[in-house]
Amino acid sequence: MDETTLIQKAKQGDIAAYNQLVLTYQQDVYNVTHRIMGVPQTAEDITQETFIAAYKALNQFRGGNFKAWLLRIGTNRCYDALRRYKRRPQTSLDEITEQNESPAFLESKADTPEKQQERTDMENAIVVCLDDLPDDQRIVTVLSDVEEYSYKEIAEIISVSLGTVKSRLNRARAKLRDCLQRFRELLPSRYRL
Amino acid sequence: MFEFLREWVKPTAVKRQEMMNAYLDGELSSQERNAFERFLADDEALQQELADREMIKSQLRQLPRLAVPRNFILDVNIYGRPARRPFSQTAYPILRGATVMAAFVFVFVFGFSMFAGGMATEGAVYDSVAFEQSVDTAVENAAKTAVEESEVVAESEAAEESEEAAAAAAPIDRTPADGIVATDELTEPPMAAGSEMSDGAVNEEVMPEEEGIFDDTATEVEEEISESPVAAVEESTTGTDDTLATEKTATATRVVPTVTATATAAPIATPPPTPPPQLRSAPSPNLSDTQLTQIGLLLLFLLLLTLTIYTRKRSG
Repeated sequence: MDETTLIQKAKQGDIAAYNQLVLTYQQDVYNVTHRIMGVPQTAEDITQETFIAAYKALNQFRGGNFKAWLLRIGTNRCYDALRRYKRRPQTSLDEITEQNESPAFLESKADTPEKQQERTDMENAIVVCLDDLPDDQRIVTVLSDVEEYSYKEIAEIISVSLGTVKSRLNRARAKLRDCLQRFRELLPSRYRL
Repeated sequence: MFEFLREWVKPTAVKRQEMMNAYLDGELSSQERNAFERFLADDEALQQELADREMIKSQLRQLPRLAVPRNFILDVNIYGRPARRPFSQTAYPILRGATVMAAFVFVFVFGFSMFAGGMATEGAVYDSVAFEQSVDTAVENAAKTAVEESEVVAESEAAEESEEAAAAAAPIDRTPADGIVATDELTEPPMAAGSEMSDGAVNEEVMPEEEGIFDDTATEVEEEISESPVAAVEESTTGTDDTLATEKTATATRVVPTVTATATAAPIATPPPTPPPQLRSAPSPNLSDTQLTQIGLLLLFLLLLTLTIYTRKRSG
């Protein structure tokens, strides 16, 4: 069953058809929200809210890119959550424990422990620098460099112009470069800028 | 338009960096790409910056794809095909709104009628005072007229009676006892009848509030009239007891109808006090309409309230 048929059935109240769409796009939505928010539990909550909100607003979907429409709802939820967190910053104890007890090298078995450690260090540096970016620049960077959306799709998802996408992405990459240069001594030579 | 201005005022270095990003992301056309590559070949700093950004981009793309911690499918029991909403759930907000509206309208109408009723009551008080004053004036005028007329009639009739008595004194020859008995029998019933008639007549003509006033006035007039002819007859009588008895009888039979006529004529002759125009122009029809409206609104409010409570219980 193709996506258009599933959407039409979901509009008519077929929850099974909508759940098919959820299963198709839940990883995309979760990854974007996780990269934007940086907190797994918050990303999980926002992802669930995104699919609920999308189901309730399904009649407003007039066709086009359904994934971009879902991600627009997700990024808007992320904006709302970031505004809330700026007012009341909080860190979950579960999140800290989870990060310390679940290092990446324990999950991957392809590389040697040394290479895994190098990659982990680089990933940590990237994540730290990504989290240091302003919210609007981080969202554009995640959508462009992590999720590999085109400029046009990003402009559609976050409802800004193409020029705004270009300028935000340019500033974000410049800041990321500056940020990663601070980690130069910590990174292996092949990762040094 | 603002986008065009922003692009126009953007520094050349920034434009070059954005073009480099577009080159990295494959967003340039073939012509733009060729132009940028020609420019890039002559600029080593730009080449270094491009290499740095390419490395950052690749590192970002190598970030692991995160697995979802759980499925985000929606629960069929909660978000399943929405059943048709029962009528009670649909009607409850409507009924609630209608009840509130009815309550507001009722309070408004009730308050307005209270305000308007207060104003009308004050006007009615002033009108009733004026009405009482006019009634008093009319009663006094009627009493004066009745007294004057009765005095004139009594004087003229007393004179006539005295003349007749004097002329007829010689031929009458009866015992004094018979005459006295006859006089008593003849005198009392007509008086009683006359008083009853006068009372009845006055009661029919005079308004209830003025009944006492007119009764008093009629009684006073009656007493004056009944006394004055007798006194005139007694003064003018010089004959025997038979003559006196006859005179009393005649006087009594004549005086009483006169008094009755006079007493009944006075209220009739006096124009009945018309109700003041203020009372007639009082908004009595409007008040009744307002009261009907209030009752209707109250019933409507109670009906809507009952339906609202019922639908609320039904909808849970």
